[in-house]
Amino acid sequence: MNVSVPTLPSLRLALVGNPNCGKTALFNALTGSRQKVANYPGVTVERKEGNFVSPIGRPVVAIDLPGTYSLRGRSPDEVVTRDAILGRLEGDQRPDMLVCVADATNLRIMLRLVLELRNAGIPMLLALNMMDIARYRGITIDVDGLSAELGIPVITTVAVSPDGTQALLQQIDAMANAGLASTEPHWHALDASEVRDAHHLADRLVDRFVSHPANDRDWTRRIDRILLNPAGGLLILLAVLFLVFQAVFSWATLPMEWISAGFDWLAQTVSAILPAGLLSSLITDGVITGVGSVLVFLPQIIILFFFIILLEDFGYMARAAFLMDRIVGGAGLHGRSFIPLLSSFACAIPGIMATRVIENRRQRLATIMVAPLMTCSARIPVYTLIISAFIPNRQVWGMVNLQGLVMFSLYAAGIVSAFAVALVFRTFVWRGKSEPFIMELPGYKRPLVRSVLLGVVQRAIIFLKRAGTIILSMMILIWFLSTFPAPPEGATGPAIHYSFAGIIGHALQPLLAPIGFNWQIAVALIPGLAAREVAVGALATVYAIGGDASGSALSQTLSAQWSLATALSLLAWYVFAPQCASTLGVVRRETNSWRWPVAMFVYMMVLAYIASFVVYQSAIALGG
Amino acid sequence: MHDPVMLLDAVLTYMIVFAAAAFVLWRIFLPVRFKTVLVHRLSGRKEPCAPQAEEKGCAVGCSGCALGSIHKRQA
Ligand SMILES: Nc1nc2c(ncn2[C@@H]2O[C@H](COP(=O)(O)OP(=O)(O)OP(=O)(O)O)[C@@H](O)[C@H]2O)c(=O)[nH]1
Ligand SMILES: [Mg+2]
Repeated sequence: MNVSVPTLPSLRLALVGNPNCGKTALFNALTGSRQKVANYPGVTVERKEGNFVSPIGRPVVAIDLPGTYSLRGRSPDEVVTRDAILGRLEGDQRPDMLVCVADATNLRIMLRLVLELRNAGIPMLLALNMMDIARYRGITIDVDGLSAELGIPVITTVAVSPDGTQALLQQIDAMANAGLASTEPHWHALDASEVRDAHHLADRLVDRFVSHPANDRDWTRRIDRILLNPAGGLLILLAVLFLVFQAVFSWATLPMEWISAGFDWLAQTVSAILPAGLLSSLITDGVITGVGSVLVFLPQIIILFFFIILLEDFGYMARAAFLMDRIVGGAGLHGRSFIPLLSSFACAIPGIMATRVIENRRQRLATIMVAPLMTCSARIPVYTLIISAFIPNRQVWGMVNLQGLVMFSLYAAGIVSAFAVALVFRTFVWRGKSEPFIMELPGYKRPLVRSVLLGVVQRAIIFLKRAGTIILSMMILIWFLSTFPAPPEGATGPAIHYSFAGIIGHALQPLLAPIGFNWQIAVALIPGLAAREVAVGALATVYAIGGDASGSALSQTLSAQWSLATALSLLAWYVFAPQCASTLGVVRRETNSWRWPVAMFVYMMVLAYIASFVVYQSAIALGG
Repeated sequence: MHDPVMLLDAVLTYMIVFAAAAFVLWRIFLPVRFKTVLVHRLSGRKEPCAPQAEEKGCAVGCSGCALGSIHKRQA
């Protein structure tokens, strides 16, 4: 970095391009950010800013935008891109420079957008990204010829390699030094004949400047012949999902034992050092037992995300969505609903935000309404806790682990009910023709070890942070509510019965008795509304304070205290219940009304109660 | 309760509980707008008139959505 240069004026630079061409990967490489990158279209749905300093010391503000094919702005995410480029966003300056990012292996579609972007009146350059893949496949591009023809600089980049952005950085400096002058945008929506002309022009450019080898080393089609095979593809999908859940259970066992042994040791040490009293109880029963019981699930979360990120980067996730559509075809969900639903497996909130790629408002609403039924990662602790307490760890049919099988069915229950609910919505609430499934399938890519590991570490850090902040403080409050007020003089029965938590739990219990929940569960469900996995910690603390804990592990306590019917009923509850206030908040924000979050809460609550009731009563009837 | 150790024990406990309650209140229950105004008033600046968009998406920050915010690499 050159120190002698006095502060250069800063530059605003926007990254535009088709979906899945690597804009966010470039943005991350330039700014050192960690925005989500995945191998399917429609990942970025919001405008994001980041800063970096160019090689000659110019401060640059980079803006990452959602991918688009044109400036027409048909869906909410495309509108964001259009308005950012045309300077229509209130209080937002128009960028000084556009970096058009193209997938070098699929230049044709991007060239159309480049031609359209010329009307934006902003100086621009074209970055041919994914050059590594193009080179591997033997695609050659006449960069100088293309640049001369388009009249803008063209450079090549590899967003995922450490020095793949050098040419881009140099070009940015060169253009900024030469002076950047924007003109008024003279963009207007193209009519049909102009669109056709742009297509022809783009086709001619590709014919002139791009040459494909006779036998392209593109594996995508060959792999797809197997993975998207009508019969075999589904079997492979089931097998993949199945293996993932098996791994979540079997690989995690050992590290989970270590973590829980660590917390036991910590609790014992603390109670040996501190004098018996309030503080000691707070730290052992509240903090260590409560937070510990949630943190134990770190290994499972890491393993699950490892697979999710691996499959995402490889390009299989988009295929999974495609195959799912085959099974449920006719549920009436839009093709573009699948990526939001897949994202909801991590958390419903990014999933709901990802619905911005859906143009049709009703279909967007239908997708938002069912997204929370997908099994989010905050449910994992609750599921695994109950499964490990009540489902024997043995093999059925030779090689299938029963616990993994139950977990798999819980995920399946979420997916099936989401499609069922969507169908109901489409049949009774929003009648209308359903559109065919159209989705571009991304090319397969070799997952990069570094980016997979980084993604996993990032998830782990988020989980730990969450445990250390919001879960920790909620556990402290739960401890307080379970300890105070102290029982009156001469009270019989455990002290916790006289506490706030005991009073609340006993008050709610009659309502929940038909579905088999005891008062401890009632207490745990309330903080679970703020963060699902707090319910696990709350159970641990309530049982520890109540003196009902048998042994150190919460699962041992539960299997001694609950009937199988109660356990199954709680699992059913967690599949459906609207146990997450933040999701409802995001629905309110995204739909701009209270109507939909309220409707969501009501329908999920009713569904949860009915499901638990049916499960509990049938389990009782079967002698559970 | 007159034992100084017991007193210290109680005082520390209440302080921790109070801090946790304040944190939960702040993170979950207070609306974003209110927080923006409060933060700006306390630091002596005038608060921005438009409601500030919430960067994180959700107040609680699930495993997925905290990824929505920009994390700058430490230079
Ligand atoms: N091999 C290779 N892979 C790349 C390159 N750039 C991006 N990728 C991968 O391409 C996929 C898509 O990248 P993203 O950055 O998410 O694409 P995007 O343009 O932001 O997509 P949207 O946000 O959906 O519009 C990811 O799996 C990246 O890891 C590259 O130069 N070489
Ligand atoms: Mg992106």
